[in-house]
Amino acid sequence: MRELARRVSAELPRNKVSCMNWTNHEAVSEARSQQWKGMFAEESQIKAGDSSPASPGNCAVNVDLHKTPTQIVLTAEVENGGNDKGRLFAAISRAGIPVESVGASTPRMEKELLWQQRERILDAIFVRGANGATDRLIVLQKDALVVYERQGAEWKASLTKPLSEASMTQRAPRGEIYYSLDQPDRVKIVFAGKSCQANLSDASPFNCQAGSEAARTGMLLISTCDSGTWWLRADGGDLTMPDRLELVQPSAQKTEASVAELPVPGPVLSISSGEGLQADTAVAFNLATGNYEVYRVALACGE
Amino acid sequence: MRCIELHWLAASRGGVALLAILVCAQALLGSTKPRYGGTLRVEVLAQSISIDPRAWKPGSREFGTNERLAALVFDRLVSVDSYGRFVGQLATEWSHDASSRRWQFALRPGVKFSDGAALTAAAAATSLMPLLPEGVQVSASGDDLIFQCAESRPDLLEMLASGRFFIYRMQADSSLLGTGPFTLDGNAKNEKSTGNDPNAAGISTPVVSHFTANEICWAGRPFLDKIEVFYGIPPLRALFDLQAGRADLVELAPDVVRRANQSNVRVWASLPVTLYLLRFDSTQSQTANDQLREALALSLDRATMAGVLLQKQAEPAAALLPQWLSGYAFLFRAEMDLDRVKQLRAALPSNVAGGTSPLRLQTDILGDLARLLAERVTVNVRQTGIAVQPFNKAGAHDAGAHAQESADLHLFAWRYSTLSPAEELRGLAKAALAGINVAEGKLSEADRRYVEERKILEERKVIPLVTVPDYAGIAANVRDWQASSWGGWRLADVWLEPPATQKNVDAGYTAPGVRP
Repeated sequence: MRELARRVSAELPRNKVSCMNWTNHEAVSEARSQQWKGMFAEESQIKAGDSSPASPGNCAVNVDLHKTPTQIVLTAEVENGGNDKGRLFAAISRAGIPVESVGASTPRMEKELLWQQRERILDAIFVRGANGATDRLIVLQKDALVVYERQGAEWKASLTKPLSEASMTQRAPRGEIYYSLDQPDRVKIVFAGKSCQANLSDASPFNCQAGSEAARTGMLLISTCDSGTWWLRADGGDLTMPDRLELVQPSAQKTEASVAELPVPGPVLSISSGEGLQADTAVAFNLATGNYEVYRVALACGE
Repeated sequence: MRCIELHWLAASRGGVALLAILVCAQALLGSTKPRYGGTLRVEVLAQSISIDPRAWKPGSREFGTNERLAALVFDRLVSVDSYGRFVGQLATEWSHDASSRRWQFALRPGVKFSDGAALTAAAAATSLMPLLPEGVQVSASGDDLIFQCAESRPDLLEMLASGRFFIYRMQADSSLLGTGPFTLDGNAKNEKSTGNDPNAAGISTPVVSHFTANEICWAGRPFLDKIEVFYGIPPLRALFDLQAGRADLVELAPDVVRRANQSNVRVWASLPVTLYLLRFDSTQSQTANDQLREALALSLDRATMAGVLLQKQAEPAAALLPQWLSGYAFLFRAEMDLDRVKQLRAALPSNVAGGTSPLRLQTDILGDLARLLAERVTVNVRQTGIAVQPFNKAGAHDAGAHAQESADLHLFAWRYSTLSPAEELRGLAKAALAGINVAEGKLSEADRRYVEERKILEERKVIPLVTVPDYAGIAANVRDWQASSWGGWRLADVWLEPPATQKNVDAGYTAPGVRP
């Protein structure tokens, strides 16, 4: 980016004030585009955004952003005084661009993005630290159970327990974490055909027993405003579809309409709770970014 | 009525007990859980298939179908996800030196071929060696693969993540085994053909290949038990089979897509992956005339070809590499300029493209689409006073006197087959455009690639016409359809929903290759 700006700057006639047209062809988010535009303008000493869309021809530099399967290609066309325009390029690996969070909420439910990662997440539970303890995030992956602790604004992994081979070789492995506030250092994990106990305070192996338990289909959610109890569920659909978190009466029929909805940027994969049902934890696959995301979902008081 | 079970106690912050409740609901998250089982019935247009990547001709129209089917049986070292990220398949990590000439890939441990034999670095190197382009060597070093490139190859990952760079193992009977999610039943020769003459009248006999789930696939067993692939299916019949429930997934020819949409069929479209273009034969004296080539290029009405002739199922093309692959194709313009054509025509010698020695336009490929394009090219060029005589190479026996004639101009198709723009441009120029060589070196840099492509286009020895996507019709019970935008189908993750539990799927929409 900065190198392209320098090359563009070198192409321009000296002692001439220039401006540029910057066009993002849905290659990156608008926020990212504006950030890059600022960097480019700063590096090249070209005024950004001076031209109006109605008169794009007035600027000596046109920068276009396009997306290819693996790169963002920046094309700079430069009026250099000759008959032909100079054309300069830069390519930025899409994999190297930091992911931006996607946020949306409804007045009744609120969600907070806690964590996102590229590796598949089967389930996750957020545990609010009480009495000075740190917040914890327990993440069940295909290959390991990872416990993160909040340190300032960041999460640091404090424990990683590898899972067995059996859980790794399924195309759609099942894994659900169950957590109880009265046993803060233990979790139960239900896999297909077995359930395991794991100690979160040391690296001891899982203690597993054969058994089959019904798959979890949602989670209760209790309002801290009026102690009302609700059932939090996902709208459903397959992995290609955006999803919604829906709030319904606990006794509601399957077809009954929800009282509140919260869009999520992809299919919801699990809903669990580590805060005594006063907030739930939802895992979703973000279709826009390809990341697995962990949200804390709670009910908001008031409007 | 929903069943609610009081399950276990959980203490709240104040120590007050709360009852956590497990609800035995039937729906909710349940519909996101894939189902195992079932047979996916697939129909493809190609008359013959081959899953042997060594036999594939880059740019050929069958390449896409072959690649999709081979991906059922074989894996690559890496893949690219829909977010532009490289994802390890048979390789778990990779690195390269500062010049990107030496690459090292660590193989995924514990991977087995479908016969149970372990995947080794030596086997992977043996399979890749005949597939690699000139100047790239691969060897095994312990559990690692080492690629040594004669020139800088920053695009090696793009190359290995696409095209024919599958890992396989050849057996004694020359059949190929893979590590992928399916095995090909009766994989004796790795290829099959209908044996039907595509020009013959009557109903052809479809040939079927059976793929069975690989229970020991390193990435997990696929959801489907089997995939049956019928090929050599005429386009209209494929559409009817889909509508009648006789097929779950069918390749759609561009000329039936409109009909499919009107019939509320669920249609998937890739990015434009096939380029139709004209090539001048450099051995013919007429085509050595620069003005003739310029006049012909400026006489073509690509917008009508794409919008009217191909019913908006194609895009006008002014570049060799498509915009989605190069990122800069928008810089090239290809607009009609009839005034300029008149000037050029007036300046042409009388013996060039005149009535007695018309340009001979040969259609190198079969199909209605190619025939329509050739006819439109002929009409456009004749309108400018340049004589053109079209004929069909494959149907030369029908063209009588033209059968033995050489052509001045060829209409052919090029199917993009790699995610490396440098490799694609090199392949297109070398293999398809005889006599045109792209300068070696540094094509991985966009600046250099643009200059080379521009040089080729300005010579006007090749003239892009239109680009066309791949299309597929998908039955409503096919779930988790997550095809890549550049044409891969990813059938290992597809599952079938039983008819009784099907949700309404929006019919009549064109499923985009890129997810929102």
